[in-house]
This record gives sequence, structure tokens and C-alpha cells, in this order.
Amino acid sequence: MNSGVKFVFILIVSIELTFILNACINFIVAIVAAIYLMLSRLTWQRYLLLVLMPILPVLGAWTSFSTYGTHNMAIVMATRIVAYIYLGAAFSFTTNMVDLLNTLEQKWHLPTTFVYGLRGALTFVPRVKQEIKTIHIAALMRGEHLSFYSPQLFFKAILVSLQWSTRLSTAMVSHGFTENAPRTHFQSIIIQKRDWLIAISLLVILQLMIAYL
Amino acid sequence: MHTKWSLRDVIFIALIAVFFGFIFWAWAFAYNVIAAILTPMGLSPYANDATIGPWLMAGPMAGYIIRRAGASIIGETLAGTIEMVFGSQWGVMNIVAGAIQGLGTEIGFAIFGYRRWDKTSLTASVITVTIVTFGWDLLRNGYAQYSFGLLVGLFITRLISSAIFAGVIVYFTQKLIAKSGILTTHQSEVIS
Repeated sequence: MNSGVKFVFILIVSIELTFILNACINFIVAIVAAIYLMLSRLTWQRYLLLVLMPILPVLGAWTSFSTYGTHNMAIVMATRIVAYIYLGAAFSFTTNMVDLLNTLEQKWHLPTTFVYGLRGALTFVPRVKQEIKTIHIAALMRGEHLSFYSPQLFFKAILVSLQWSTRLSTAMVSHGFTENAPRTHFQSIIIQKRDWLIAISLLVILQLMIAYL
Repeated sequence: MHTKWSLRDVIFIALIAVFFGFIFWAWAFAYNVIAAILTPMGLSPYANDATIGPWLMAGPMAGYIIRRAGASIIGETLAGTIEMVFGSQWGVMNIVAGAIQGLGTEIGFAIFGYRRWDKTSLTASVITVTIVTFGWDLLRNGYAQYSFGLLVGLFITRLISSAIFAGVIVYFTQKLIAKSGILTTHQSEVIS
């Protein structure tokens, strides 16, 4: 399925779940998302993560609402968390962000400055992880411990962002990137009618379930 | 006020979002541990409100540094999106939550027409973000189920958490940046 269509579809379902207090629907949504995930052939680590991830939040929601709310509400909130986790994974574990950005650019006309700026920044994700470690260790060498709430840590993160953004934008412009100029595409995104059809029919089924369950 | 976003601004705000997205992602583990500790004491509703602060930081950080309309909302939404990409228990709702949190912060700066960037506007943004996110939790996390007394306690807890992280820490970070002069030398490009 096209990642843009999938994104909009999952977003609509997620927002709807926020307003619906129905454990049965949460449960069905979670099952459907889980089946989709099983068919997506992820790595076993991801499946393990999907099994472990809900445990703590579900327990937390369950005890909060069975202590302070009603038993019924506890079931709704606990199942809702599972539905969210699996719906979210059905998007983020199976979709390439670059694909989504391409769709946003080519089909829904997001300005190219944003699309390519974001694509550039996304490639820095592994370096950001490394940089946080580096900042941490560099501080330790001077006998300072930076905790996650330390303004020093944020200051250095912002300093690095400023440096990298200057370099990356210079590099992009020197390679011919012109802000918001029309572009041709090597990979053009085609949204198949089938994708819309599947998304819309699933949404209709969901509305019918909400109305009748 | 300058509203056009240059390529560099976009990359800058996106990189801040990547840093914070990573911090958010790591914070989710702390949140779960805190919630797990508070649960047997029967205090688990407080976990949600006490830990919200770090999640609110990307918005005021971006807004207070870039000083432009929309910076808070874009920064916070992107950071939420990045957290989702890392893998999160809230899934796509991270983006929605990010947008709502960013909106809350944005209102605080917008009240002053994006002209004041001091303790007053930052305080206003802390208050608006607390109100907006609390309103959202009334819907989303079933807060309407709780008694009035508990809600007051939760609201105060949330206000303290956001004041510390989205207020005090952002303020001191900005002070460090101002002292270093990096934004004044780059001002023509970043704040224009």
C-alpha cells in the first residue's frame, strides 16, 4: 500500500479510537493490525519487541483506572494501548519515511524545501545517536556528568544542529538544489486506486462496527 | 516578522527535532519505570503528569531559539514523528500529541504577537501548554473519569513538570546560547 495512504488511514483510525470508549473495537483494531504485522515478515527482534512493548503500559493503565476509575474504563484503556502500539507499528515498522516524504511532495505538494530538508536531517539519525554519546563522554573526561535534563547537553545539541544544518544546506545548494524550484523525479510515486479502495472500505467497516457494536 | 523558511532553517529545526526525538524515545523507558514504581502505591495517574515535562521541550526550545511563528509547532510535531520512527508505544498518536503540545506552546508565544521573547512569554507558553495538553488528556486518557480533587492534583503536578522542563531548562539553555553568541553571528540566516 502507498505509504501516504497508509499514513492517512492509520492516523484517522488512531484519532477515532481516542474518542471511542469501546473495548471490543480496540480489540478488533489491534487484531487486524497484528495480522497485518504478521504478514509483513518483520525480523524476530521486532516481533519480540511487539510482544514486550505493551506489557508495562497496559499494566499501568489497568491499575490506574481500576483504582481511580471504573472496571469498564480500565478494560477500554488497556485495550486501547495495545491497539495504538500495533497500529503505530503497522505504520512505522513497515514504511519507509523517504517514501512517505516523496508522496507528500509529489502528490500532496508539500514544499520541496521541507521535503528535502527533512530527508537530509533524517539521514543524520545515526549520527545524532553517536553525537549524544560523544557529548556525554567528552563531559565525563572533564569530570562533569551531564544528565538528560542538563542545559549543557541541549546547548551542545543545538550547537551541533546549527553546524550540521549550515554544512548540509551549503552542500545541497552547491549540488544544485534550488529552494522550491520545480523538479523532475527519477522515482515517481503512483497511488493505485486499489490502495484508496482498501483504505476507504476498511474505514467504512470501522464506522459500521462503531455504529453497531 | 520573517515567515519564509529557508532550507537551512528547515534542516536546523529538523535536526533539533531528531535530537529531541531521541531524548523523547529514551524518556519513554524512564516513564514506564516511574509508572511501574508508582503503580503499587496507587499513584499511577500521577506518572503521566509528572513525567510530561521532557516531552514538551522540543517546542519551546525551537520556538525560543528560532523566534518565528510556527517554529514551536513544527519542532514539536517533527520531534514526535522522529520518536515514532524510533519505535514508540504510542504509535502514530505521537504525531498528533506532538502537534497538540506544539500548539499549546505556540499559543503562549502568539499571545505576545511573537514580539516578546523573555521570561514572560516563556511562562505564558508553559501555562498554555499545560492547559492544552491537560484538555487533550481529558479526552484521550480518560481523565474525565477521575474525581475533581484528583484532577486538581494532576493539573498542578503537570504544571510543575512543564515549568521545570519546558520553562526553566529551556530558559537556561537559551542563556547559554545567547552567551556563546552563536546565534548573533548567524543571525542573518537563522533569525531574520
